[in-house]
Amino acid sequence: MAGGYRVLSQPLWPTADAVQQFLKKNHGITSIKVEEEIHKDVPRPTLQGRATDNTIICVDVHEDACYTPSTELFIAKCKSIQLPVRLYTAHVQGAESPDFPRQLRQARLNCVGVLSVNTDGITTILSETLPQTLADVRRLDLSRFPSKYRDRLSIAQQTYLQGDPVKGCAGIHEVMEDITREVARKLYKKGRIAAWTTNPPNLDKDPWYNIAKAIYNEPTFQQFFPNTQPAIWAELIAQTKPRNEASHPPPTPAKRAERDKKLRTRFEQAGDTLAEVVEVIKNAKI
Amino acid sequence: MHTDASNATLREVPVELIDRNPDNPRLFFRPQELETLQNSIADLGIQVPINVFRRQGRFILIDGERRWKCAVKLNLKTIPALVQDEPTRLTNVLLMFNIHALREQWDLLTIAVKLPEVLTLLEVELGHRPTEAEIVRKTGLNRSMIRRCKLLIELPTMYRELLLDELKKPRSQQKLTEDFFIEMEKALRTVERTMPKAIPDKNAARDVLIAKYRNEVIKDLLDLRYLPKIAKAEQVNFDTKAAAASLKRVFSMNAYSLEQAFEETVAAAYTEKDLYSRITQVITRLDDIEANELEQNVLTALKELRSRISQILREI
Repeated sequence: MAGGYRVLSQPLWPTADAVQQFLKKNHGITSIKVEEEIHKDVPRPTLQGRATDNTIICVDVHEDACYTPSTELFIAKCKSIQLPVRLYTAHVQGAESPDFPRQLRQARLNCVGVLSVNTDGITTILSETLPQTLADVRRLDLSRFPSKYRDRLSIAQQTYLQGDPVKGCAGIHEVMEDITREVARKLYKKGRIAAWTTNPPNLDKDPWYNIAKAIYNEPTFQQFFPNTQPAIWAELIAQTKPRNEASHPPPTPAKRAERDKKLRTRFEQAGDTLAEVVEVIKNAKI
Repeated sequence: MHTDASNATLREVPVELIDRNPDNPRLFFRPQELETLQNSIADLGIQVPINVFRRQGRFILIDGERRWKCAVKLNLKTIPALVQDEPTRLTNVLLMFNIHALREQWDLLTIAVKLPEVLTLLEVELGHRPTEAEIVRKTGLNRSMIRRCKLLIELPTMYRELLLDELKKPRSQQKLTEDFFIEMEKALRTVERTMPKAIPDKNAARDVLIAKYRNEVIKDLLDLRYLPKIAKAEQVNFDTKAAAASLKRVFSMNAYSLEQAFEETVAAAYTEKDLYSRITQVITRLDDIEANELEQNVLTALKELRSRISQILREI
């Protein structure tokens, strides 16, 4: 085994060794650093390695805990300098402190992964980790949305929190697009759709942007959406752009941090815009 | 031991240039202790400098290994340190004992493992094998601790390694402790001395007791104290052959507990011995007392005692 632990208590060395195997097997990390610096302002994790998605996977090994004040300090530092770190804590299975369930809730809330390692070195994931650059995202208030959309939005949020922010954002955009098409169909039935285009529109397949833009440009917009600021619909139109952006893996951790910041903002903005649009539709006269 | 710390200078030493002291016998640092200290240092910084000495361009820790570990963990670049001259080997080892063993809760095995080396170095310095009093004075350990350490040192290697492996485990998973081995060795020594035939193979006896403790046939460490009592059956006028047979059964792999062995053999004899001792004490006390000086509650208790004694004597 690699060893080289200076800080970690000796009884926890086998646990850390087992986690190294886990990182190799589950994350394909071959070069694992032990108790080394990741950034001058951040405490050193027990283990770290760069994942293929250019996040830095860190593991802090504990005996009986999965979320401690030092975990909190670590993630606060990572967030403050926007380090794309995915943090796991690992502990010895069977040694959990009485406070462990509360700690596990805290870990999940803060997107810290939790690994439980038994005496045979078998590692079980109790909670998945998310890059701290994405973790601070404001959660969707599902009560703001009609019940028929809540399940899809909940899945979108889960997808984001499970480490796929692009798909998570796309989940919200899909709901937004469906609402747009639904509005368009209703307007079409009222004979308004003919004014939008010279050709008969395909409301199921035409680009989302075209349909949203047509609703925005409708001369009788205020008739159908009384007391609505056109800016709200403009925000929806603005959301159609990121939806169509291709998602390429960022080439460096710095680019990754930059992209994560954008995705976090995008997720929050998409949620806010959708809530406003839902409010508009509720009061629409169509 | 002579150290001259008056030449020590206080300075900021790069964390990366510090090494742990190879003579520090401490093997384990409990993670919770480090976590607590780390949080404190993160909040308030290092308030008390560590102690180091310089060797070949690097710094060796004398005192402050936990603070240093926390500084590494927190990624501090420097740490305040009192830098002093390199001590002699004996002084270095004795410093470790005096600084750490007295102030912190070391595992006893940690001290025990290092003690023979200390004794050898002391013997060279003193020119004779150090007495217990000299060991106490030089190391700062008390006599009881030294005796307990000696019991651990004298364990066969395989059992010392077994204990070491156990101490490496997280505390919640440790079953065998230093206290268990100390109690076991004390008990086996008495049995060996008073009833040698009961232990034809001491390691086999150890294996059985360890297994019984692990399997919770021995539920309490103090149960091991039944063994010397059974072995000393002759002192309470109990049949020594029956006691030896019981011990033989105890030292076999089975579910026969020490408590059971005690109850089935000498327990009643010890109770009687204890009763006799108390009656003798009461008689001695009564000889010194004037009847008219006694309080009413004592008189009531005496009458109750007389009644019970009469009842017992009538039954004979």
